[in-house]
Amino acid sequence: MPQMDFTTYAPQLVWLVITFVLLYFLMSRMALPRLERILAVRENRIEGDLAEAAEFGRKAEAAQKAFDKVQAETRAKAQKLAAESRERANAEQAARTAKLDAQLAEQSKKAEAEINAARTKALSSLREVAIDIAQAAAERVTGSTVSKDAAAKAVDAELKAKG
Amino acid sequence: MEQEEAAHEGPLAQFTIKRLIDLPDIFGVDADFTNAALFMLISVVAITWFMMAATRGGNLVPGRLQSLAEAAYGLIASALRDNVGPEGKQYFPFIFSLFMFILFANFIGLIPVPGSFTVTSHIIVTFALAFFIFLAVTVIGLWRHKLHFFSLFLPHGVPIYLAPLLVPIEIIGYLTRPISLSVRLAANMLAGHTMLEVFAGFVIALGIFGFAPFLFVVAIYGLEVIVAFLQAYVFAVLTCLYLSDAINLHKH
Repeated sequence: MPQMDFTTYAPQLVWLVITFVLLYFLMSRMALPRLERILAVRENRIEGDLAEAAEFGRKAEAAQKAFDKVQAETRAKAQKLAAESRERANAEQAARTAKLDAQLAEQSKKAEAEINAARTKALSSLREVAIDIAQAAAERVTGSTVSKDAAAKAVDAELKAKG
Repeated sequence: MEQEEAAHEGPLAQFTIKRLIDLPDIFGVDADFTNAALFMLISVVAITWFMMAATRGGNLVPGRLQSLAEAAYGLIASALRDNVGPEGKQYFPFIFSLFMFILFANFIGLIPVPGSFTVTSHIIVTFALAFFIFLAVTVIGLWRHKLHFFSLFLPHGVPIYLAPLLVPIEIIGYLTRPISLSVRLAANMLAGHTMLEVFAGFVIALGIFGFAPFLFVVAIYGLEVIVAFLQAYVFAVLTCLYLSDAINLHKH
């Protein structure tokens, strides 16, 4: 069995030491630092990207919040404005109505007064006319002149009697 | 050498150590460049090429080679983190080198070309690795915990009257670690390659009926690929566990 040939042990051990020490230095000084650098770069990149993503997320959230705030403010302002203008319109409307009402009331009062005046005037002229008619009718019926005073007296008496 | 090689005909011939270049002794130690040394060197070159090629682009999104290198890195890093904790980080280059060395030695040994050789099928190689780990772990444990390190041999929550029984068992278990660690790997490689060789021999011997052992060889080869990876991983994970004992004692 070649494994049991002790004369081969020395050269195998010598070259095992030489090659393994060589490998150890090649790995620890050259290969592993290179591989570790690649892994570190990747890890940093991933961490950086994640941090950036989180930052963007925070920014987006802040923007959303600001947008919501502005929207709420704008809505409140618009509502206030609408309410104000509605109030103002109502007030204007009311004022105009009141003015119109007053005008109408005044006009109707004036018209009433005019009607009353016309009526009294008409009633007073009715007596004159009645007196003239009474005088003319008496003259035509009796053929004698009747004085205006007598006719007036008779008409007044009649008017009094009729109410 | 000629006689030795002649003596190793058959399924075990593939494990023969051949001296390729005669080199002068180093401090009286035989340092000839053998086929084992060649395949160790091939493994180191292959690992280095693989790691450097994989990390050349340094792409944010890894390609095929880079994904493999990152998977190997992640496998060992998580084994070390899960078993040892953050203090194990400084031993990562060693565990990673160990894992890659065994993995590539196993895989390269499976490439069916003439002169193919599996470094890890020799018990002396795996034992040297395991014994170095055993020594290093013991030194790390003693250095970190001083004499308190020996409390490792008395499991937690054990009644004190069981100590005379358990402490020797624990000590024997601790001392046999390098043997179990090295024999597990070498025996797996040895058995798998021997079995492949034996059944490959049947393919020729059985002539027209050779397809049956041939199919078996294909199936076993697939199994051996899994074993090659698994044994490298087991070796690395057990090293992590031993390291954890030295660093955390029983706390973990």
